[in-house]
Amino acid sequence: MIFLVQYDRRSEKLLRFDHFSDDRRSDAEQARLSLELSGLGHVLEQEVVLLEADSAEALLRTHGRYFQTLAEIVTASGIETTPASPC
Amino acid sequence: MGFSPSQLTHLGNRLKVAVTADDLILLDEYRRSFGPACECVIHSIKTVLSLPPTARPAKSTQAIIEKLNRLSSRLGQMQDIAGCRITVDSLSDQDLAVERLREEFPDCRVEDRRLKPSHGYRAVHVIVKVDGFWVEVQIRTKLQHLWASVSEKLADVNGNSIKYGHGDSKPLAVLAELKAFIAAVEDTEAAVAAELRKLDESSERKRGLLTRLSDELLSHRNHLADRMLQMLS
Repeated sequence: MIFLVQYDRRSEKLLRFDHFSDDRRSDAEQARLSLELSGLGHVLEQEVVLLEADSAEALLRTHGRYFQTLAEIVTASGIETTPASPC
Repeated sequence: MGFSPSQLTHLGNRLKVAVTADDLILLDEYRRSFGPACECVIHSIKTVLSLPPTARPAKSTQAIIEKLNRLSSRLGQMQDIAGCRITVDSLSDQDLAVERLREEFPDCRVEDRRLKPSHGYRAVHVIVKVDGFWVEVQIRTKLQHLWASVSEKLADVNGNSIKYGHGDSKPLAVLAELKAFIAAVEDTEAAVAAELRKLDESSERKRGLLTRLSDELLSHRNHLADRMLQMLS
């Protein structure tokens, strides 16, 4: 699954979140470019990025900062349930 | 269309000053050229390591410009235009993933930022070259990823300089304390795991001791989430 993310860093707001099936890579890339061209004056404040993951849950695990607050990142980190791995 | 080093240098220099539609289209074309190499690496990670990476086939314009300005680097020299990220449970899982990647891509370059943290950032980056295109694989433990995510979030609000040890002292202090705590936990985990591996079955007493230490570490990890929430509130 391909995800298109538009994130405003200052306000920490997710402005856009679309998804595309793997066979629509070209559409996803075109959508990313169109989004960047339409917001040309905000390139330094807004991140527009394509990410590919097996699921939205997998995306949340590796790129949670686009979707979660600081407190949510900490509580969702799973550190409270991960045992030490001795071998 | 291929890009010459000089074309890329000029494009990078223009982006540092202002972003025009024409340059954005050129940059997009350059970034797209990394797609097949990135796909190849992702396929290998899924099949060889049986791990689910998240791919980022093209670095964002914002991140590229920020890096061009911060490091005075050239666009054509950036080795993280395409990349992917893997999070694993522990240091031993991280070592294993690096070893498997080395076997799969013998010409890769490994940057172990656990030994030499970059302003507190700990991870292992494996840089793979496929058909002339670099792809950066970031391998982080959950604790390392937690620190990196908190750092990114604080940088969103306080400015990117926070990630590089400059700026407002309060978020810098938070990151420094977390860095020290996470490093201590992971270093101790590694030491305990190493000792456990040395023991044979007759060393029951020592095994008991190390298992208790391992449990204590788990308790420290549990406390970490509460402490972080306190610090960030």
